[in-house]
Amino acid sequence: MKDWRVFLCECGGNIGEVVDLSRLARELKGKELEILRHPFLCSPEGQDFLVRKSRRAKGVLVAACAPDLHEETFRRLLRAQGLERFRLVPIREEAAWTALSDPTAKALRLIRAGLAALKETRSPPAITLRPRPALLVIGGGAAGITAALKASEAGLTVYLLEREPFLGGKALYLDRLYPRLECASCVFSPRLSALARAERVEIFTRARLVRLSGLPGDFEAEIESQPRYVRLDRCHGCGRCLSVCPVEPPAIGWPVPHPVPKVPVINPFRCLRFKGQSCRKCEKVCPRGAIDFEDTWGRRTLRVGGVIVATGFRPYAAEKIFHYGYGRLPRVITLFDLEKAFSSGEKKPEIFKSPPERVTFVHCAGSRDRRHLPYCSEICCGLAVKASLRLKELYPRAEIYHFYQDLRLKDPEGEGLYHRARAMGIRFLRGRVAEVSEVPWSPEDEGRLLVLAEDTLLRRKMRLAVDLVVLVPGFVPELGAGELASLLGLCPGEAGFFEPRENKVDPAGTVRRGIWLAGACSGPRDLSETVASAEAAALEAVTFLSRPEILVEQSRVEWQETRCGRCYLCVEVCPFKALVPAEEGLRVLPELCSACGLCVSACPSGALFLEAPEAVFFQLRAVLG
Amino acid sequence: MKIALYNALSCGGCDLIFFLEDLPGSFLEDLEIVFWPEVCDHREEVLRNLPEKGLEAALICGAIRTRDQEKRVLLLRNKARRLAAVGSCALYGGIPGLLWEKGEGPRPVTEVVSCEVAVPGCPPEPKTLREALEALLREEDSGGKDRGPVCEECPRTRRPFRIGRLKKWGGEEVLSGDCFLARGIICSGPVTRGGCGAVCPGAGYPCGGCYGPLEDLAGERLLSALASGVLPARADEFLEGLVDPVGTFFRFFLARSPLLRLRKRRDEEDTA
Amino acid sequence: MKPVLIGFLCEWCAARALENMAHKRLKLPDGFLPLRVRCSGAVEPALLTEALRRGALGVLVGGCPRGHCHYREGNTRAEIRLKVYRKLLAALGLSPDRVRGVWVGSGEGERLHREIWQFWKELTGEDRPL
Repeated sequence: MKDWRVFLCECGGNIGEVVDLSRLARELKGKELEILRHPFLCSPEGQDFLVRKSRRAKGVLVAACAPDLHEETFRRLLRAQGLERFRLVPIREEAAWTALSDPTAKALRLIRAGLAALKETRSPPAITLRPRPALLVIGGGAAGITAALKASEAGLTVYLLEREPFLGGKALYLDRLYPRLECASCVFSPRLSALARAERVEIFTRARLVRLSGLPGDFEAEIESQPRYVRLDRCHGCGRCLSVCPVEPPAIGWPVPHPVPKVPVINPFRCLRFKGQSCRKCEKVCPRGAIDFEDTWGRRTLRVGGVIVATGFRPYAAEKIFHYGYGRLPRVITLFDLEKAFSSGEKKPEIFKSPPERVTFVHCAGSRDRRHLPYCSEICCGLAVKASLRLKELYPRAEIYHFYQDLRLKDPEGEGLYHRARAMGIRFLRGRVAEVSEVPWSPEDEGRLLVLAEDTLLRRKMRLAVDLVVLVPGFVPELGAGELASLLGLCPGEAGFFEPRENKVDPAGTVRRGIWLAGACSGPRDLSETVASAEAAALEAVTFLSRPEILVEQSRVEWQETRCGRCYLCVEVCPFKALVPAEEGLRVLPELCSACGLCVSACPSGALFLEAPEAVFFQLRAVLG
Repeated sequence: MKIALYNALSCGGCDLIFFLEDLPGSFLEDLEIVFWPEVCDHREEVLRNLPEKGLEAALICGAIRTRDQEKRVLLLRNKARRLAAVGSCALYGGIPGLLWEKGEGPRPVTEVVSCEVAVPGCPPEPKTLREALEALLREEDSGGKDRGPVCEECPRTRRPFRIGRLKKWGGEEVLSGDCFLARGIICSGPVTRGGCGAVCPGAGYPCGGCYGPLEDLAGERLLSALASGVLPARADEFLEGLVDPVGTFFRFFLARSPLLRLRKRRDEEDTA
Repeated sequence: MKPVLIGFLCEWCAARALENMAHKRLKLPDGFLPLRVRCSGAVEPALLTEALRRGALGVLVGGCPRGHCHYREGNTRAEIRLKVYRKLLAALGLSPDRVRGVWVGSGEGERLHREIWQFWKELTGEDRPL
């Protein structure tokens, strides 16, 4: 009886044309082994084939693509007919696509190893649970707000976590929007207000996640919040406290263009009361008794079914590009300083005390540069062109230069914006700026900045004396993204952005079930893309969390009493505190165990097991055999 | 009953226990020791003149280093119906096993000939010896395979712990009665097969592992356990304190480590 | 036997980095055989010995970047163990460079590719074929 089945998937030509499957089948052939082959095991016919041909098998091995893609599908199909022993060997990635000269031999060895392990494999026990209809959204920027709104509309309870005192993120500082130059706050602020009114949304400001445990569908999230000193539940945003504060600028306030929640925050580093004085002017003037000097750090534990990460991005620190002089030279600013100045609403902000006669935009500051950001952030060109148009509106007589490498203007309307800028006299020069310096080339330029660059289209060197240099840096993940990645067990990519489960077809999913990505935390995005990706994440969350029940696999460590010497080394080794000493010796707490195997590899007496004991050893022996 | 006793490369400590301890009465009844170089006869002819399987049993101590020793053990295997390997040296190479150098060194008796009865220990506890001899008489094979680790018999107090710095044996750490590992003193208890009654830890000395590995690759397992217990911030300090990794992890069973074979293979390649 | 380099790759990062590399169609030495493990911290030293004993030229342990273990400190453990194990190899007169840890994120296929080839070349003494 051929109890064990091996399914070889051709994956179209991906495997079939590279790996000699007939040779593989010939070499694998054994008394107990049946070898089956299908062009696309993941297709409906393929799945049907798998089900049909695995009847009465003891175990099934599928040699196909990476487990992220179809392992779950296959496992579910097999489990439905009571088949627990299943293993997937990704010969597409591990042999077909990467073997230098002999993919077939490599695939053969890997399959043999898989077979050796298969006989020792059991599928981990699965539990069904009803997901909690509650969602945690980390980050209250454009993405977080959108995701929170959509999820709450669909009936989920949403906890929205924002590190800053006010929601809105980077979008708050946008003045106009690319490419139509509509007013950003007109587009964005209704969303903010809608959120403030939304049902089932609880907002935590000045808060961060400190722990996440549990299973997909039933997480426990611990959040920590900094004191605001003004009570969110009492304040109704009259703003009287702002006018009585004796400190200049006031120690209490809402230092953003469009504060949501419209509840001020006290800066304890400026407030006189926190400096030991007895001032309580704001407290006295407040009609609702919302000022609370006793406010402290708080912790709260939330039970949620899923988490949306919407931590966003931030501009690359332009100080690091030393030869551009940001932070060192006056009037070298970044695009975001400029954008903030526009959006602050003041007509003539500090940096424009005297109207600039000549302005240079330095594109790709640090981008596409191995020493800084090796990638292109895609959206900065548009932002820069947009900002230069705005600048030209304010100062029609200013000469504006863009030094670019390649102009990447998205949307059909992007090109129109470019022509509009050209028509207004804004000049575009291709080439990298070599240096910005304060040493003038000629005496009459004293006090201006010198920009040295090369126009690579005309092949000439350029020297420009300018009044304002606007650096256009690329984008990096927001601060703390790495820390959050560790907390959530998400792997950041090379640039530090979160990696989606699959870029093309599952951009919102992550390697962890129940955790999704929204917005620019997975790469630079403009507002429209951010909103679209946030809606996608919300849809994923809503679909997942409104299922009546989900199947969660939960492998856990097993303890064998007779082998255990009770050295209790494992107790401290377990990073999740899932092992506790007990009367009988040791107890494994299944709800805390994440089956990492750390204790198994630490146990000197071999008293702890994960899945089948020594399955890896069998695999290793087979692969070397 | 004719028996022979032979001591290859060892300290002689295992021989002594035959004098010191009460052996099973039935064992001593009509016992005829034909060959025991240290005590009675040391002539090889005595053995050679015996018919095949003419001896009821032979007890071999020590590791095998010279060709002469090997020859003699093979001879004993030929003449004795049942063979007992006595002591860590005979079973795992023991302390002489640490003499391994450039892929050469004393081998355990069990690697040269097959033995029916194993008597682990350095030296074996009287109880272990008695049990083994009884097994020998009852015509049973004994390996003590079903034992748990030494810790199971250890009287010291156990609690969860992490290792900071490795400490030398002595003083307060010993008197405290706490598990040695928890106190930062390396103890092979968890990777060593029990049966000794944990006499060393009970008397205040960490287990060296003389009863042999509980499982294959015990040295690596002890290494893993220790490295897992180290506080990450103090890993370098720990590494520095680990002066002799070979003697620490493989004190009594180095001769059985596959890593040594690896070494040998490489040397062969070098000379080839 | 042809030279073999065993790669224990953690299924969260290192194995995904290999997939990432595969999508870019970067080639690896034929002797590099990847085995997926749950966490680099689950790779016990006994496995390293077992691999070497059965003829592997070297063993690579691939885990998540430092501080990014999905099980909090698995890769830290793996790193400490590798350090101690390398010390043991050196004390036995073997080359400690036969085992190595590589800590890569799931998107760092190219880096993993570089590291594997580098290791392979050091082990076999051969230059990378063009």
